[in-house]
Amino acid sequence: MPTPTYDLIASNVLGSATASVTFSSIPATYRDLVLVATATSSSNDVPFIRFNSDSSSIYSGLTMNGDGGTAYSSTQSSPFSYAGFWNSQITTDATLAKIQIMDYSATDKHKTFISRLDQAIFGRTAAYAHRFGTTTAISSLTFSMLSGTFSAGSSFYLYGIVS
Amino acid sequence: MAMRLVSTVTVGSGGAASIEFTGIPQTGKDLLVVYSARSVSGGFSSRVWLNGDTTDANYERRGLRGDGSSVISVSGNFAVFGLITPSTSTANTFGNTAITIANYTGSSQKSVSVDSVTERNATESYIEITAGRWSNTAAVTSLQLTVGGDTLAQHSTASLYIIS
Repeated sequence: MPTPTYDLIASNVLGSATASVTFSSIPATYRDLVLVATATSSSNDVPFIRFNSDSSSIYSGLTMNGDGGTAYSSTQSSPFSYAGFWNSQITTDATLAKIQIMDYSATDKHKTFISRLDQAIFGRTAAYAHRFGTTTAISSLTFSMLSGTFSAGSSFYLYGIVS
Repeated sequence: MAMRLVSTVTVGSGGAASIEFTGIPQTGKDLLVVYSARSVSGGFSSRVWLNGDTTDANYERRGLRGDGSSVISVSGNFAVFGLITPSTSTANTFGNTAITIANYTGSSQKSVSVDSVTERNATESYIEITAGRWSNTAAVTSLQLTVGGDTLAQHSTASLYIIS
């Protein structure tokens, strides 16, 4: 039986505070992409992702969250110019993000991706479903904060899942 | 570079108090533990200890759990990461859980992400996602899986992968 495997495409462990992390020239040879990040930030703002540096309003999504006391779900009323992740405590509570981008190199479908964001101390556990509303293949990925910077020591690993 | 199976442990006849992985290779970026487990008595909380640290105060969790009709959010200062099917559940059903520990060789506190289900096509079926943390900056070198106050049943199995 063939053994599916992960290939590490690129990684970035920050040596100093950085506003955004970009993985570019992503090979189109994998089936799916998986980004695993553990980050803290200088600001309790929204971490977000963009593909291909595309800042047009074609990112939509929904989420379910639990903060230890309340469980709830929400959706965007209209597409955003980025795929954002609700966040309140990233300055003090390291956020673990797992983002799986399916069929990222296809040119005949919009790109969907499923994410988990976890903050165990003060924040929440959350699951997200997002859509990047274009048929363009994904060749680059940027992870940023709406304000502030990712702190030194934050780690970002991009894997390709072998077809 | 790959996702590599380090070890698989299967519980034999009579059950086992725990499943333990020691000497975890330090060559990976992320750690993935996938297990299928059932308890001998009524235990259903999957307790995961890292590097032999069994002090609950050093762990934190926030979870979101659905049972098919409602959803609740839970939290606490203990190392309960996932669900195990109790012996009172449908015969031959085992809970399934995947635990990711990112940057497990790093020198920051360890963040944990958990997906877990105990499905039996009846009441007391659960799906749960959990955010976890171990407040220790040491690299993870061992991991012990237990079921709170109970024994893991025969045929329970756990596999440890490193992703590098």
